[in-house]
Amino acid sequence: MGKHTKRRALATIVSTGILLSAVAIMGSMLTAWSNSIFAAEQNELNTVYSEGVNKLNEFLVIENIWFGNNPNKFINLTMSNVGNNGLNVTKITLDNSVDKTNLLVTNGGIHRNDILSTEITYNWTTTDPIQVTITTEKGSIYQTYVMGP
Amino acid sequence: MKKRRGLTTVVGGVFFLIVIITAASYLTYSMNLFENFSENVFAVEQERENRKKESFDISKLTIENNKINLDIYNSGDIPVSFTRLWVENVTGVDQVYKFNLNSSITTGNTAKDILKTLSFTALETETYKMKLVTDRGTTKEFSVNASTDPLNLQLFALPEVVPTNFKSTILLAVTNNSTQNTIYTNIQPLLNVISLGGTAELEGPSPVPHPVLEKGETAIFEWTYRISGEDNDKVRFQASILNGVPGNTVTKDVEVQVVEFAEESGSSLVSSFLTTISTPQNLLFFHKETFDALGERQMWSASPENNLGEVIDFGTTNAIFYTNTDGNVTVNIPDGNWNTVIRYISSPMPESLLHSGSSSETMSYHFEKDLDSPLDSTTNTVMTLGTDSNRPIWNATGHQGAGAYEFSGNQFAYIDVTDDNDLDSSPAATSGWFKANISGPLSDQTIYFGESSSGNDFYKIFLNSLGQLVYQIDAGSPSEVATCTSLLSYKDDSWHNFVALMPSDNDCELFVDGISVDSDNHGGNGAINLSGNIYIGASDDSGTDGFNGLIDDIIHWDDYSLDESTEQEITDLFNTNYGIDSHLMDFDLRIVDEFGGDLGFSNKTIAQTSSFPIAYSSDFGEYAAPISDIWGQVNFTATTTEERIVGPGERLMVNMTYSPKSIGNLNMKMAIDDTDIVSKLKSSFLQPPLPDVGLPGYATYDNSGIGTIGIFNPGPKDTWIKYQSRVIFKDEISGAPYAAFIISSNGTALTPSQDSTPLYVGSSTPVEFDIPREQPGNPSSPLIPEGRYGMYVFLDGFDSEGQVFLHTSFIGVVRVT
Repeated sequence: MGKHTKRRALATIVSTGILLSAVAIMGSMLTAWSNSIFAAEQNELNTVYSEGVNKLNEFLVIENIWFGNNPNKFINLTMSNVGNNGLNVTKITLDNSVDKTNLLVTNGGIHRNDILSTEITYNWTTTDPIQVTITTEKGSIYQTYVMGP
Repeated sequence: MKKRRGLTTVVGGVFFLIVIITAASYLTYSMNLFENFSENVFAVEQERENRKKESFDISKLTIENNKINLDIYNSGDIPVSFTRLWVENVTGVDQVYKFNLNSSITTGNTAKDILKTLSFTALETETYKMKLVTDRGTTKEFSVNASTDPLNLQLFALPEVVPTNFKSTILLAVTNNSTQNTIYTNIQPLLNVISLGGTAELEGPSPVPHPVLEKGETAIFEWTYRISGEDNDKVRFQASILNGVPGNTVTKDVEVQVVEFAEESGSSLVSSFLTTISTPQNLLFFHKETFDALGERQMWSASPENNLGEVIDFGTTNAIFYTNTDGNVTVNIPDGNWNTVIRYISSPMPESLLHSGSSSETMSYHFEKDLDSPLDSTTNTVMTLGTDSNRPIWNATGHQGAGAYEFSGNQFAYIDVTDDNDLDSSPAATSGWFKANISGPLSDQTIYFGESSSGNDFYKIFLNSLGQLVYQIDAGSPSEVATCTSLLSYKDDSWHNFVALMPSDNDCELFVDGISVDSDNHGGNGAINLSGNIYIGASDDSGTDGFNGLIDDIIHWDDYSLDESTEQEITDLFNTNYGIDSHLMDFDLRIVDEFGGDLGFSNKTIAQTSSFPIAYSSDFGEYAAPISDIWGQVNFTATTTEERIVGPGERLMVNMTYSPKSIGNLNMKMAIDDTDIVSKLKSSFLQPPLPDVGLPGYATYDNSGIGTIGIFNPGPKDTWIKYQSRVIFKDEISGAPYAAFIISSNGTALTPSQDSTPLYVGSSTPVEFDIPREQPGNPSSPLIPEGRYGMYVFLDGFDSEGQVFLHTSFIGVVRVT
């Protein structure tokens, strides 16, 4: 009976160890998994938040557009960043209902309370209204209509 | 087993706790992010709201001294801060300027001249388009000195048809209908006057530029022109905006038409032979009778009955006229012109100088007309102008807008001194107005000159070589010369008044523009015995020492020296206007209730005009007791753009109130109700637009007996009327007709075998008619009932040369009672 008692005690220890190990391993795996899930979600949330907030705070004003003639016809476009953050203008589109001109802007960063002026060679007329569309890096779109003098 | 289970539970619990803490952390983090996001959204929303609240208006924008003068009013709910100004010179090419600003305005305040420090030279002759930008990105665009878009221009002329020498008001309405939301500032209208036969003379000021014209707003510019010309002549007004878009113009023609007053029109009742007392229903003569006219005077469509008219002295009363009242009639008067014609005469002198006997003026020339022998208001003297190249040129708007004569070195007028203007002894005085050319000669220039044949006696008023005014008299033998010389030169192209006094022999005193400039008490006794002529404008028939400029209002007192010390007669004379603004009259034309009370509605008002100018009219003299047709005429025209309705029981009222001037007031008198006034448009009257039915008059006929009317023969032939003549009544409402025989003329019965007695030229004759019936002559036919009727008279007769005439005249509206 004494031998039998010792074996049973050993088995109990072993089984307890196994159980603990199994619980520890499963627990660690579960914890690691949940942490990674939470971290990924947190990261996603951060991105969405920052994009949303930045876009929300982005405010561009098409301050002035004037039409020039010398040496060729052109349009001078001035934009003003009156939002809370800097922004980056990436595209300017001029559409006179007949032709659409896309101008990709490579150096369109505008600090807060700063302006950006650009001169676009364009064969404007005094009769066709032009739709001016400005697209920022964050996807904000600003539009206005102008017509040559 | 118990131990193992407990340990496992502990381990599991730990892990569970870790998971719970992690989840809670994530949740808390997410909540914080959302909170931050909400705060951001709120902040952005707040900024957008602020942008909406941001508003400002341009209260002034002009270019002065090459600087842009810009006033901004903060009309929003929050302070505004301007960051930039864009200026585009539209007149130039590619001239766009950007200026950084740092200017803030608190709510409800105006920042004045915010661009005064701007280093930019702006020219008044160029057009600028500007844009203001705020720190929140609000922009406002405006244009100065021009329109960069075609604007909606409308031109009105009120009225479009005028009698010659009447005024027309030109209104230019400029509406900012810009498609680009541009605000236009300093809008300056241009009005080009093109003669199409007629002429237009601007009266009063030109309109000032309109400071700011917001989108959708309209600016009104007003000019008043006096139009003159022949019948059907036109003046074309072409309006545009200074520096506006080419072709953005609008035109309106004003046509001169001789006003077809009813007395001259085809509807006139004046025939070749006879006329009755009534007139067309839009010709309301002013009558002296006050019966049924609220104690004032009657106004109705009936000619003056006789030559016993009335002269209304505006120095003591105003003139109020009423039509009669009728509780059953509504009179609709269409829109159009209301002409008030006044026959009047001006006092020759202001009240302080209205003397009688030898103290009154003995000669007075105002040159109101261009005549070879200009009219002396006193009728004492005869003036004759030089001829050909020696004749001065009449200037219709020479002095105070009225006539004067222009001399250019060798022109003259002369007065024969054998009349009452012989200037023999003191006292005496001479006054007048002159305007000497600044470029006149450096020698004497005569205004008034007389001398004796020996040259020992003379009476001279002239400008010397320095342009000083000199009054010089010589009454002695040998010479005793008194000289008064002004200190200043008056060769300045301006009008000046002079009064030269000879209070006693060989003494003189000279006043210029009401102020004494020199005196000379030379002393001694002696008469100025002139011979030959008194000259004006030169000193002889050769034009020696000729005047260069204009002369007007030459008045002379042969036996009186004006009194300035107690009566201020010289000041009064200096301030007297003998021109187009001689008198000022207030006109009040209204529809009133039966008691003359105001009805309180704007559509009952026809005109309320204060201080309407009336020109001097006294060239024909006879102010004190006018006995002949010497009356001037003035026409006051009011225009209604909508119908006027004289309702049941209401009256039409004309109230003319004289507005005397405080200094130099000339009184005036008005003549009414007089057949002796046959010149021009005859006696004074009101001519409204033709009403649909006649305005209630004061003629009544009692249908219980025989009626009487008067007929008048203005000539040219003596006439008779026959028994076939009739009177006809037509019910104004139902149109039912009634008629009656004319049964007698001047007390003589008309029968198949007896005509009237002769109706001599210029005579009035009463004629009687029987009670009108449906069938004249049938005693059982129904009688005319009470009511309102249009009355006509049909006259059958023959004249002194045996010619037959048949003539029907409208008597007017008659109340049958």
